[in-house]
This record gives sequence, C-alpha cells and structure tokens, in this order.
Amino acid sequence: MKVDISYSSVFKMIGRLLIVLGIMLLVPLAVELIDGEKEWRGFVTAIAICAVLGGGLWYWLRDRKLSIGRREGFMLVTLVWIVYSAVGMIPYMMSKGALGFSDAYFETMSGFTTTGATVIADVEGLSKGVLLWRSMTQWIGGLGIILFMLAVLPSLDQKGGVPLYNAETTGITHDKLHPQIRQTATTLWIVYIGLTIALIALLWAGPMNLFDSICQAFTAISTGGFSTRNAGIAYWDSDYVNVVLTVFMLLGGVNFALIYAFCRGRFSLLLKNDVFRAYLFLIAVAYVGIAVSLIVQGRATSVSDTFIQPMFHVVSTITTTGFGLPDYASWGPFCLLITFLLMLSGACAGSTTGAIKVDRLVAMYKNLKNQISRTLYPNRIYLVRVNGVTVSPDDVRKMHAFITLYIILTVTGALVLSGFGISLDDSFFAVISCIGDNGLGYGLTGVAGGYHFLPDSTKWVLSFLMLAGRLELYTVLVFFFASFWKK
Amino acid sequence: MKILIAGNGATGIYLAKQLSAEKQEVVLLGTDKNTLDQLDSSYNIMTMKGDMLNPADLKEAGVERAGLFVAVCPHQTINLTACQLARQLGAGCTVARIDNEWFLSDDLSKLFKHTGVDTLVYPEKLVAEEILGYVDQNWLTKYVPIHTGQLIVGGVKVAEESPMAGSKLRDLTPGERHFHIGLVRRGKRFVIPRGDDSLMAGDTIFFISRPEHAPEVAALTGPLNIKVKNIMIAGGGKITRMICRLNNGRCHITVLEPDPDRAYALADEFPDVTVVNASPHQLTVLHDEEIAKMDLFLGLTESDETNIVGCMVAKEAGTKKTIAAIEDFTYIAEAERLWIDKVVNKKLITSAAIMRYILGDTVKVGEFFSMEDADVVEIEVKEGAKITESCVKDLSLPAGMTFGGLIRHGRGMIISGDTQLKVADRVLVIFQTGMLLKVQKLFKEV
Repeated sequence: MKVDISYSSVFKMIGRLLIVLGIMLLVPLAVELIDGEKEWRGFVTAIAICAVLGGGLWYWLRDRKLSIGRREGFMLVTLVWIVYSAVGMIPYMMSKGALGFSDAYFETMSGFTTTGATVIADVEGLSKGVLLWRSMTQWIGGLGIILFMLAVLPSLDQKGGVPLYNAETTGITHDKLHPQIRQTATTLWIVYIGLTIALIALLWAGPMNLFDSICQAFTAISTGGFSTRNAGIAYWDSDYVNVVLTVFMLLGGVNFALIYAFCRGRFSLLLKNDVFRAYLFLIAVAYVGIAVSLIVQGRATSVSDTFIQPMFHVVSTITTTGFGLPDYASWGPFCLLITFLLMLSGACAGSTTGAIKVDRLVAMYKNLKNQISRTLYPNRIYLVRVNGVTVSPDDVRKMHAFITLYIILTVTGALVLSGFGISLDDSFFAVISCIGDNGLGYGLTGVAGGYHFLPDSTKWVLSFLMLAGRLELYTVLVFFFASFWKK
Repeated sequence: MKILIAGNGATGIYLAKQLSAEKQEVVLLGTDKNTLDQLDSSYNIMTMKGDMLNPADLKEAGVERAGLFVAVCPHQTINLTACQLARQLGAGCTVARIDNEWFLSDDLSKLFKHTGVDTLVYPEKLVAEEILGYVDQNWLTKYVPIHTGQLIVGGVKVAEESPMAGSKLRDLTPGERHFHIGLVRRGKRFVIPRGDDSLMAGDTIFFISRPEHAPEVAALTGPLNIKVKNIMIAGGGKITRMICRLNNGRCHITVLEPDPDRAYALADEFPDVTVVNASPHQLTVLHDEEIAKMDLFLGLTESDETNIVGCMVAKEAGTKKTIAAIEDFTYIAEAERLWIDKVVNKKLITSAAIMRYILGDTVKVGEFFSMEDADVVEIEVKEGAKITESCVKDLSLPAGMTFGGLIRHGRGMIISGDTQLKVADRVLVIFQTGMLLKVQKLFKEV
C-alpha cells in the first residue's frame, strides 16, 4: 500500500526556503556591486530563480495546509540541501573561471556540507562576492540549513519543527536545550554567532585583512575548511593564525549545548562530559603519535614544527575542518594512517563536525567492553553509559548499524572511485574525506583544487556521500528503501 | 485515645490488632467486607466499610473525635489526600504511609505538616536502615542505638558453645554488671527474665548496655562481628533500591532480579551495583557470581519462601551471614530456627514507627520499636511521677515489664535494683504487648 506523503507541504516549505536563500544571496551580490566587479550576473540569476521558483511554489500552494510528519521531515531536509546546492552553484558557473556543471555542484555541496573539498585551484582569481558566498555556504551549513530556518522562520516551527530538527541534528540522541525547538535553535545560533565574531576579531588583530578574517572565520568555526588563498592557511605563515584557528576549530568540534552550559557558568559539566574528555584524549594521543614520528624522522626542528603544526593538523582533521598543511603528505605512512583514523572519527556530536563522531566511538567502546565481560557473566546486566546517562539498547543497536552503514558506504564509494582507475589510497582517502565532510586531500586530490582532476561521475558519487555523511546517513538512505514509500 | 486506621491491608490490620491489644479505641476503615467482618468478630476493633476519600464515610467513622488518623492503603497519593481530608474534618494527628524517600527530606516535612499530614512513614526505608545497621553490627540480630549511641539495645542468639547456655542470669556476671538482659525469646515466646531464670542455646536475648560494654556480651554469646564488604541481594524491589541508595559505596552489592525490565531499571539507577538478570533459584548463576565469597546474603523478594530457601542455599554455599525479609508472621520463628541470622518484617517495623508516634501524644517518647509480642520504649520521667518515689527494686513493677537503662544528663547507664529514678531521666522500658497503658500510667504525673 502506498503511503500518503504530503508533497504539497514539502514543496510549500521548499518555496519559502528558496526565498530565504534569495535573501541570503543578496549579501555577496552587495559585496560584488560595491567592489565593482563583473560577477554580479551569477548572483542576480540565482536570486531571480529563487524569486520565481520560490514565489511560484508559494503562490501555487498558498491554500494547502502544512502537515509535516516524519516522512515529510526526511524528505524536506534532504531536498533542501540538494536544491540549495543546485541554486547556490550558479554564481560559480557564471564567474570568471566558469566551472562546469559537475564541478560547480560538487563545490557547492562541499560548501554546504562543510566538507571543504575544492575543485578550484586558483581561488585568488575569484571575485570577492564569490569568495564570500563560498565561505557563507559553509557557515550556513555548519549548524544546518534547517536549524537556521527554524530560528528565522516561525512557520517552520509548528508541528513540523521537531521531526525536522531530529532529521538534521547530529548525534545518537538529540538533546533539547529548551522545550521549544525554536528557542533551542536560537540559542545554538547565538553560541555560533558569538564564536564567529570572536574569531573574526582575533584573526583581524593578526596578519589577516578584514575580508579574509571574515571568510576564514566562517570556514573555521563551521569546521568547513575552504580558504581564500591558493596556499590555504599557509599563505599567512603565521603561528598566531595557526594557534587561533586551532583553538576555534577545537571549539567548533565541541557540542554547542556544552559550550552554552559553560558560558552560563556550569563548568563542571564540561569536565564530567565523557565525550568531551574522550575528544581531548584522542587529540592528545594523535598529537603525541605524530610529534614522535616527526621527531624520529628529524623533521621537528623548530617550536612551530614540533608543537603548532602537528597540533593544527590533528585538530583540523579530527574536527573535519580539513585545512591542509602543504607538506603533511610527506610525513610518512604512520602519520597518514593517523590522519585516516582522525578523519573517520570526527569530533563531538551537536557541533559542526562530520564523520562518525566521538559520541559513537565512546558508546561503541563501552559496548564492546560490555560484550566481552558478558561472555564471562551472561546473566549480568551491562549498560552503556555516556555522560552518566544510559544509552538505551535500541540506541546502541542504531549506533552500531550506523557505523556498519558508514563502513559499507565508504567501501562502496572507494570501489567506484578505484573503478575509474584512481589509486587505492587516493580512492579511500577521497571517499573518507568526503563522507566525513572533511575535505582534506591527498595524492591526486592533495594539490590545490585537486578534486577537479577526478572524473565527473565520481564527483556526483562524492557529492552524494557528502550529503549522506552530513545528514548522518539515515535521513538520506531512507529514500532507497521500499518501507519509506509503502506501508 | 480514639484511633482511626484507614486501609485494610496487612499493615493496617496488624496495626489495628496491636493497638487494640494496647487497649486503644480502634476503628478500622476498609473496603473489603469479608476481612473487616472477620476482624470485627474476633478482635476488640470496630470496623467500617467505606472509602477513605469520602468525607461522609470519614465522618461516620468518627474522624472528628479521632486523636490519630493513620492512612496505610497501598497508594501514597490516596494516603496523603485522606490525611488532609481527615485533618480538615477535625482529626488530631495524621500519619500517612508513602512510597518514596524524597518526600522524607527535611525541607518537605514542613510543607506536609502545613497541608495537614504530620508524619510520613516509608516502610522500605525503615527496613533498609535496619539492614544496613546489621551490616555494621552483624553479631547482633537486632541493633538499635539510643540517644545518639549513649545506650544500645542489642539482640543476639545464644550459641550452642556459649557459656551463657544453661546458666542462670544472676550467675553470668559475678562482678559489676555492665549489661541488662531485658527480654528473652524462646521459640515463639517472649519472656521478661528474672535473676533465677536460666538461658538455653538457641534463645535470643535482648540486652541493654553502653556501646563500649557490648563486647562483654559478645564474649559470652559466641558469634563475632565480621566486616561486610560484599552483599548479594535476591530481588530488586523497593527495599533493595533503598539499600543501594543508602549504601554510599560502603559495600559492593550484587542484585539478582529475574524480571528483565526491573533489572535494567536498577542497573540504570545504580552504576556501581552489579545487577544479574536471574532468579535466586538458578544455582549456576549464584556460583558464577561467587556466592561463596559473599559476606551477607539478603533475601528480599516478594516471596517469603524464596527468601528463606535463598538464605539457606547461600549459607550452604559459604555465605557468612544471611537476612530474609518475611512478611508472614508464622514463618518468622521458623526462619530463625533455620540458618537465617536475621529476619526483617516490614509490617513490624512500620507499625513500630507508627506506635512511637501514637505514644508521643500521651508521654514524651524517644525511641520505640517492637518485636512481635514485646516492645521497647524510651520515656521521659515527669515531675511528680509515681516511679520517682523509691528505688527500682522497691517499686514493685507489674510483671511483664522491666526498666533496662536510662539516659541521665545526656549519658547512658544501665538500671539496677538500687537505681533511683529522677525527673528528666529518659528510661528504656521493655514490656510485653498489652502493657502499654500500665507503662504510661507509671510515668504519668499524679
């Protein structure tokens, strides 16, 4: 039996969300016009499409009642990311070094999902408006498009708010900060904006100009990883910039609810938080591993080489920011494997990070420990506790299924890439980087704009993986199962 | 005093019988006609069928003349509401049985008093406290510290090899006497012993002494105190939860609970407790969980039989001490004859707590607790009371009661025949059930 899905509700919302996208596009357009560059046509076209399509859908479905249940929630969230990327790519296609269709879509999806994998080698050749838009996509996608809309669009926050929030928010379970989803969304955005403003100020105080500070702050706090310079962060060659970014990427990887509690004076929560402690522990272990390896190889010759660079790399990788250091690929296989593992891990859920997330790793570790004990004492009750709260056996199963799915998708993706003749380590690296919304490149993709060299078909596969990874698999994968469409 | 008891469950019935034995005017308000009729025809209790939330029924039961209203039905919200109603209708003091411990916090007692509920009784907590007292003083089957430990009341079984077995009371302590044996239980019978009564192996004696002199009793009775580190509990009910909560990391606790949901909930609430989803009948599981290395086994399931058998299995496997919760009075003496070190009974403990409250109305009472057919009470001597007139041996106390010890100026001492009671002394009186009015009369101002 077919399920009744309220398509009109979904498209009515898409219409409204397109209009909001049009309004957001006004910002880079304004920059473009003030700067007097010729790239404004792309933005105007995109805004026109938003207005026509959005307004049209709105007008056409104006009398339909909104009813957003679980299925509509999944559909709306997934569609919105796809549609936003499709419209958001227009400025790239109509800019100076006009990108092709596949490249432009890949770049935009990579932006919204805060992946940061880029096909553009000469970013310095882009106009300021396009550069700002590129950073903005990451900043908006960082917390989530829907979460942004929940804060600004009251109409979204009726019955539909909770399924939408759950479909987009990351983590094993989803905590509410307030009884009302809209308040929760607003609070999260206040934390996010506060962190962004602090980072802009700190970067501007250093060697960066205001424009670069804003763009880099947008992409760092969202753990996205786009840069405004061809050489990336290395362009500034400043320990100050590296340290500031390390600290803020680290914060971008912490559960925002925890940062909120910390700001309200509940410091003990941070220290008692198992996930936060495990996050710091993973960073420390990875750093020590890489630092020792570098010292043994005789590469660690200065303070910056020993402390700042490896730490920057570790934090940038685990938070799935993916700001690449120019020479990390030459650090040797041991460091490369650590990088692989950090890309798979990701930081804490409820932040802007991607990948599997420390929450799941902590729960998985505890569950595996319990399973081993259970072989000795089959009748004892062993529970998985994270942050002092029991994770229900249902959620533990869901989490294991998630990790299994994650691995299946990764291997399948790598299989497709290797089918196109891409080397084994490059294939795995690119897939793990994209599904984890990391964006780091290695080998073929390791050079500036390296993802451009991949075959077009693989860019679509990787775009899909980025989206699936960002929405934590289930939200996207449900559409491929008959149970979504049939009762 | 007129006492209205609402709720014809086991506690309500036991309390009614106990109070009627103490010559109080008891009305039992209940819903089950058969039970009520049976009680009506065999005890000095007036019964009435009615709803304790119905003001008309309460009035008919005479709530406005009741000096005390006790609500002991299984639901705490009904008990609390009934107490509030009774107070509005003119009842004196009100007592409600509750189902959780968070109502007992000090900040809340004022609130409940204000709304008309004077005293809250949470039976499971009382039982848990009694059991944890045993964890510290496990050579005793009963251990009650009086007046912040100035005196203790202890119950202990006389072992086969004990020098006490077979000797007369007056021969036990040739020199200075540091403890007073106030009560002896032989089988089901409670006796207040005289100097020329002799003790037998298997008797349980109840003595009063200063805490530092308790080892003298231990030396005579046989069993020694052991340090309890590991406890195994059969059954994950409310008493178990209370024990886990009050334990505070002192001992390691293993709980056996056959119901998966209850086991899960328990494991969720107490991360430090090992919860095993198994019934105490599964011997292989008991051995997996190393029952032989347990210091204490607690049978706290809803079934008396399971508790008794569980304790016996544990003892046989090598557990050092066992306690069984037994609700059926007929089993209590039987259980103590077996290898079970201590029996706890929720109804006894609850009714003792309520009795203590009832006594508070007429005489100033500190401690009160009951042991089936005998009770211990701490009463303050008032100005002009009869008992201050001569020393204890010349008072010619009626049979069935004895003065065990007293607290004078905050210091505990035991009472001998030559002791002269003074005003403001707090005297520990041991008496057989039914003697309460006589005890009260002794202590009343003339």
